[in-house]
Amino acid sequence: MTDIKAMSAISKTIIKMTALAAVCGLLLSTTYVISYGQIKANQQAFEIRQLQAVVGDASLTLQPAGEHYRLLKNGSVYGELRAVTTPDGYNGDIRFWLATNMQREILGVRVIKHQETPGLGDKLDLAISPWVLDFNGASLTNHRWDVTKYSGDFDQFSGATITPRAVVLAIAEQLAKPVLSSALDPEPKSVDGSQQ
Amino acid sequence: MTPTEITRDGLWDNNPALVQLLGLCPLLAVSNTLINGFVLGSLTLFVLIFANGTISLLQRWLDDTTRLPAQILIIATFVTLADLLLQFVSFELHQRIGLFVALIVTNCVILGRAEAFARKNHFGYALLDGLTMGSGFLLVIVLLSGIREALGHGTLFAQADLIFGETAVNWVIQLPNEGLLLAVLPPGAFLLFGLLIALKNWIDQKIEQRQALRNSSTAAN
Repeated sequence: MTDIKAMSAISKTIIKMTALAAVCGLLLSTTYVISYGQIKANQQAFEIRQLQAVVGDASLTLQPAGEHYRLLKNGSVYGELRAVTTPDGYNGDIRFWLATNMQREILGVRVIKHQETPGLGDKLDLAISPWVLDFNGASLTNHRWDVTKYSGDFDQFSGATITPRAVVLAIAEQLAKPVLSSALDPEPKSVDGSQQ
Repeated sequence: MTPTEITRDGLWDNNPALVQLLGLCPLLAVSNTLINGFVLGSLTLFVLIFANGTISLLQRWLDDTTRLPAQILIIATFVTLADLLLQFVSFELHQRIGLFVALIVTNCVILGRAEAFARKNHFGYALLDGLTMGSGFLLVIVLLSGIREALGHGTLFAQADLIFGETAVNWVIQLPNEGLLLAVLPPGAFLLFGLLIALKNWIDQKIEQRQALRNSSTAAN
């Protein structure tokens, strides 16, 4: 008798929780389906806005090339937008975008991910300091690639040398390398990789 | 409890942040700028009202075995809704504080109100409790983040356009002071929050003293 009672209590619990979970799941999936399009559009607009801001020239088209982008002007290759990561910061990896034209002159630099000390190293972030704009127009030939403390042309932040130096040296290293072959590829591979 | 008592409790006497000291993780972590704090506080308010209301409606239907898992399921549902809502309104803001939006589910204020109040009270009272407790939390996080932004960045309402649209770009108030690093860092959050608690206690003490004074003067008469 008690067994039956216990059994019915358990099944009651199961039924209640299942019903509640079903209602909650329905509510969430409905909301998700309704909002999905707008959220996806928001996300894409957000990403493109960020990348366009790095390049700083609205007449250029961005076209994915692996994790990097090639920059097109009137259909021909104008430059590249390279994703760079350097481990030499004060705290963990610093990731940034580096946009250059074919002459390896910098169109723009944006740090997208870092864990540098707030208030000291975070001047990498354009929202906090215009420091990254100093790179615009710079190339290996027209600048000395180090921070001022090491007789270079780029400002360090007061109190933080490691962070800006990591970025300056990482950019110099990238500029010394040739334009990415994937950016030059005149016949872009289709996204699904069917040409491989 | 009367509606007045519920309101007083949520906003002042039993304020979730200043008195119950609940939900401190998001309170301290996200209160670095006014807009961040405002958005997280508002989403917490949203979750608290809906969770309280739903749990109050279901109180007869839930028994001791199903109560807790059901409450958590309901809270998690509304937190996920809040998360989707933020992505819908401002994806960029979601990029910045999204982690803490998901963590609203672990904010003890919400389960605390469900357990201590919503499941034992009428729907209307549960809603009012959610509204006032959530507002109490919102007020404190807005106050703390306003102070931290003013001291730490020397601005107020920076990046309000992320949530209020293009017109809000001009809302930014530039204060004369330089940014004070400490106010931006986590220890600054702790220190300033401690000062806020002290201020509340000081005000309470003043009120008590005044009341005692009045009582003794009426007794003397």
